Amino acid sequence: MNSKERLVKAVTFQAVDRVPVVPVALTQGAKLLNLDLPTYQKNGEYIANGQLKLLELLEPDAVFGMPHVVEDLTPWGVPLTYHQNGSPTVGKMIIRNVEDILDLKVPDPTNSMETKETLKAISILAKKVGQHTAVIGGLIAPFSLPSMLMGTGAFMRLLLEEDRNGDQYLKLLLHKCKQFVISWAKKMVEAGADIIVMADGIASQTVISRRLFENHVLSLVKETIKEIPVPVVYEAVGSAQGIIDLIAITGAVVTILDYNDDLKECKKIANGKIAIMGNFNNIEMLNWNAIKTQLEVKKAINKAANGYGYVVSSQGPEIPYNVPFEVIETMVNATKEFGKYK
Amino acid sequence: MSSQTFLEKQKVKLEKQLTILWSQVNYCEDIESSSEALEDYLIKMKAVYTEYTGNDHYITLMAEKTKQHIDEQLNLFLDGLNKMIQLREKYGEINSTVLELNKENEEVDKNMEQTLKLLREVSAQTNILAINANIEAYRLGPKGDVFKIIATEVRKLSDITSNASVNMTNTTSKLTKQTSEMTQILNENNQTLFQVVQELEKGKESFISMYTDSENIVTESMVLDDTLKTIYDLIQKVYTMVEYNKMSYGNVKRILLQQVELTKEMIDDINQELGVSANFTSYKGAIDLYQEFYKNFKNENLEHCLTIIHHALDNGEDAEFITTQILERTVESIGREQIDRLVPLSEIYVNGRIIEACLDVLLPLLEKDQKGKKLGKIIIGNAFGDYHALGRQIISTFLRMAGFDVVDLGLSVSNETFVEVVRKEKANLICVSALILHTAEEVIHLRELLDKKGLRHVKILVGGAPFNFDPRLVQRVKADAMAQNGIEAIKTAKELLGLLHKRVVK
Repeated sequence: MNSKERLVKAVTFQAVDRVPVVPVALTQGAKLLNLDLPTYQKNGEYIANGQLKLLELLEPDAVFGMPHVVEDLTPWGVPLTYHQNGSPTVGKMIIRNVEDILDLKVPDPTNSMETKETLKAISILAKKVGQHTAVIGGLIAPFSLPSMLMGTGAFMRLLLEEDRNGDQYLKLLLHKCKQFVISWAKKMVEAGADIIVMADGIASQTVISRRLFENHVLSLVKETIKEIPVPVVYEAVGSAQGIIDLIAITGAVVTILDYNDDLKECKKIANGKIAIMGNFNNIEMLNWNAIKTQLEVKKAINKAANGYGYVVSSQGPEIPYNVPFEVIETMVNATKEFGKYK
Repeated sequence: MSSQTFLEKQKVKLEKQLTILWSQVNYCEDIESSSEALEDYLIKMKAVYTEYTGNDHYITLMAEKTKQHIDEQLNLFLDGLNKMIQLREKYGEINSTVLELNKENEEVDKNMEQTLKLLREVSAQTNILAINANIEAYRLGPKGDVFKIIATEVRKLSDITSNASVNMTNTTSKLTKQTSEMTQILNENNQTLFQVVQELEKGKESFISMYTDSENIVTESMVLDDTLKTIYDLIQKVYTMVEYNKMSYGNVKRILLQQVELTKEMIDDINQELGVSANFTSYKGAIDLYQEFYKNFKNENLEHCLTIIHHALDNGEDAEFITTQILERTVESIGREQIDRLVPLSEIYVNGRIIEACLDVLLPLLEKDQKGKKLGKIIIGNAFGDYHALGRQIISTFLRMAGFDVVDLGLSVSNETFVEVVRKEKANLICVSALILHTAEEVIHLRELLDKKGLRHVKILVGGAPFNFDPRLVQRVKADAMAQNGIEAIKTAKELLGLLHKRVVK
């Protein structure tokens, strides 16, 4: 059984030889190739080579064809500030007043250097290892994109205001974001992505209530996923425990959990409906060593692996740049050793 | 001053006192109900302890069982090892016996060699004798038949002797070969056995250290047991203390209610003196005001909350009273209610917006009356590279409500700017908000810069997702403390600035 078959079968609750493991190691390739992070993140060939090196060293069950998801902002004309030790940050909000939403043009997702390089990375990976290893592409979900175009405070104001007093700009903005997300996802799929991870940081229970999710996120995510021709992993980047039942009806096949979510409880709710993935505390991982990692892997497997539908991973959005390589290595090896089904 | 004017003034003061008394009665009720919630938590904690220690998977039991298992295995192992050692010794004995046997064999070989030599000589001589007898038989002709018979028999004898010696040689060399093979096998076996025993002896050390480790785990678990028991006992004491506090507050409430009655009587007396009728319902206004405000705050209704504040001000309530007795109290109550559940940021945001809107009305009045609490200046900003305003704005609002003078530097503040403003404003506390790990790590450079510029006394309070994920990050970035929400930020800021009296428990 190759890793692609393993991953696809496991997340659809079919029998597999062992629990799949997918470390979201987007930046570690830079270290393996002895490159500084911004140089690595800006070049599709480097990104692909970094992932191939990881695959050669650890043999995880998937590779990632993108450097981070913040790049989704670049086609909209948002400049990024690169850092030596983490993902880029956004330096400018392009929606300054809600009225700007009316004139906001949905850009071609491939019109920036960053997104072009991402497509290159996906394409290289798909050609080289796609036949046996799943190539994952990632993007920001339509509900979370606005907070990065206008600021979280402003978006929250808009959301709560229009939730209370009726829609004026919100739906239009979300619709525009949805159009962008769908066309960007399709481009990734055309380039060879087998799976799309959709990061929805603003939709988690850490940020909004279940009621707001039901009213403003659920149908938006459903409509978006319907248009994406490959399986979608929905990542709430925050607590998802109280909305798993809702995520399960969006059409997503997997959901990534937060470290605070109770893996055992989540498995109970999700079993047979949607696969779960996660949920190591990625900040704590900075202080882990091999033994601690092994224990955490065992703990997670004991809680969630039974009955398939579980992928060992960390919480969103990714494993930080400075997490020791030994930790990622043990995460993969320990899953292979202890992730056998009885 | 006429007595009527005096009485009217006294009446106003007493009415004010009555409002305050009602508010205090209400606070007592709050404390009583939160004491009950506290007791529930303590009972839950005790139940967790009881359930854990009564469980089959309880760590000390598991550790002890594992230790015993290792102990049994160790004994079996040592037993086996001893037997192997004995076997090795026996092998040694067999080996020396075989060696002796070999020596004897060599002797036998030697003797056999001589015997064979002798036999060969006898055979040769017998052969010669047979030839001679044949010659003699030939020479004697028919008379020599006897010699012919002798010759034939002697040749037979020679052949038998020769065959016997060949047979003996074959048997002896076979025997020698077998003995030598046996010696070799024995030697090899002996060597293997020696190595096995050597390896087992090495394994014995790690087995024994495994046993010692398991014994240590049991000992440590027992220490943990004691610690848990100590915590349990402390919980028990806290429970009792909370119970007493609840009783005390019940008593205080009764006393306050007596005071309320007394004040009412005094107002009644004055009213009689002034010839007006008494109407006490309005004195409970403060309570109604709080309840009304609280209800609207919970329903996230900003407009109604503001209307209530404006009405209260129009009715003569002062800004200080509204800030502490209505606004802060509401925030405290909401905070208590939120302890047990995940509060989404959107809810915190709305709460923050209501507080902010109310403060915008109240703070100018407090400043005008010089009644603001003025707890000192705090500089707040997002870490360098961080563009996530929401958390910072909420914390800033809470700190303002508590009476701090907050200077908000906004998004992505460079460390140099923080230092410059701290100097200019003579502040002793910087609050840094960060949503991403690598921007949170900027705080370490801020600390270094502060120290370098001789501002070692300036404290840093941090907050944001990475710190919530792993509180150890606070030490890693050399911050002084962290806060997860507005109420915690107020408390921690007060602590860092030495505004809270701490009792050291010995």
